[in-house]
Amino acid sequence: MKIDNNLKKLRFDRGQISQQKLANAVFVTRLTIHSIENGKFVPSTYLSLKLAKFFNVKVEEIFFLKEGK
Amino acid sequence: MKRIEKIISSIQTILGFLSLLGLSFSFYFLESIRPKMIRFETITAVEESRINIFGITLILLIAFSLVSLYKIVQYLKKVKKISFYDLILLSLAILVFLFVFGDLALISDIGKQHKHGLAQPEWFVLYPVLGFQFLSSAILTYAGLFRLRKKVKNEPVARDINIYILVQYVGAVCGFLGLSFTILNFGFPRPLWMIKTHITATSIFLLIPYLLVVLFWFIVKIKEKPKQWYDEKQIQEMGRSSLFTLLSSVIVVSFLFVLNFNSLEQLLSVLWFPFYIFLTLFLFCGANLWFSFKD
Repeated sequence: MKIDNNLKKLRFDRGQISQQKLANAVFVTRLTIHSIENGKFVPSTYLSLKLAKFFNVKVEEIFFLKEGK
Repeated sequence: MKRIEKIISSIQTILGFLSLLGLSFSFYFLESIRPKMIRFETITAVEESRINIFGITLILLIAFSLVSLYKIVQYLKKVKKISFYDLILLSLAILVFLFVFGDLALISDIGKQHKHGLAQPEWFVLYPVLGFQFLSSAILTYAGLFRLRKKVKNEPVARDINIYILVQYVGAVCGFLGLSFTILNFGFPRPLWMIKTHITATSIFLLIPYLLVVLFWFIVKIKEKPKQWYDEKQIQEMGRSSLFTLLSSVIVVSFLFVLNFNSLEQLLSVLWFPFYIFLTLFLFCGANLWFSFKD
């Protein structure tokens, strides 16, 4: 199982928020947001909670487990 | 552009043109005394006094390369993505700075050899180095006039990534140059006293650009609020890079140790430290860059 996320979808659903704007809001670099969206980097609980707070959703609505290699 | 930035841009342009002028004069002057020096003829007092202009040119080149480095770093801080051309500019500014110390060493060797009636093969190294500095200074002056002054309109950045990437690039370049220099000393051994004299000074000069960029990064971080040195992806990357550096350096240094087991008191006793410093710097910064762009 691996962790997948809806971050990119959420960004676009909420008025096409740019990666940089989201990065500024949760105080990380743009590359970190880019890597999370591509599934290359799994964020900490702290950052996941900050992202959930920013979008006003539960963490599980952004991150979820996915079957597969 | 803030007023201070405009002033720095003008200073860079002026220093660029003065350096080009100084280098042109130096070519002319050196070429006029070279035949006399090769034939071991006495240099007149007037000719000797002209060497001061070459000295002033080297000081101008140091100032020009440092101001250019500052301008490039300021520019790269604002751009969305660091391009290959930007990296070339950065490397040129570092090399122009470092080669000034090469010029000094070469001209000093030429002077000593002329005094003692020895051949001066250094002339054939000095000219290409000066040529490279001339070309690089011209490119940097042009870039200062037409590229580095451009206003870059980007979204505000709360947490900077470019300076972090830049530190890794400069570290990788300085590490590579230092490593190459140390390996050259292994490959073409010279008298031990000569290596001892050159390696310390060269190592310090080679580390200066890296230390300057780290200092700049440090100042940026101090100003950043809320204060946090690295974001979590960078911490992960540095952890992986540290492990990679540790394993690779242990393997390489062990190999070097075994190769030189019977002559540890000689060459290796002088070169092991700069070799280790530049090897770890190159591996660590290179790995950080690799992990930054891979993920």
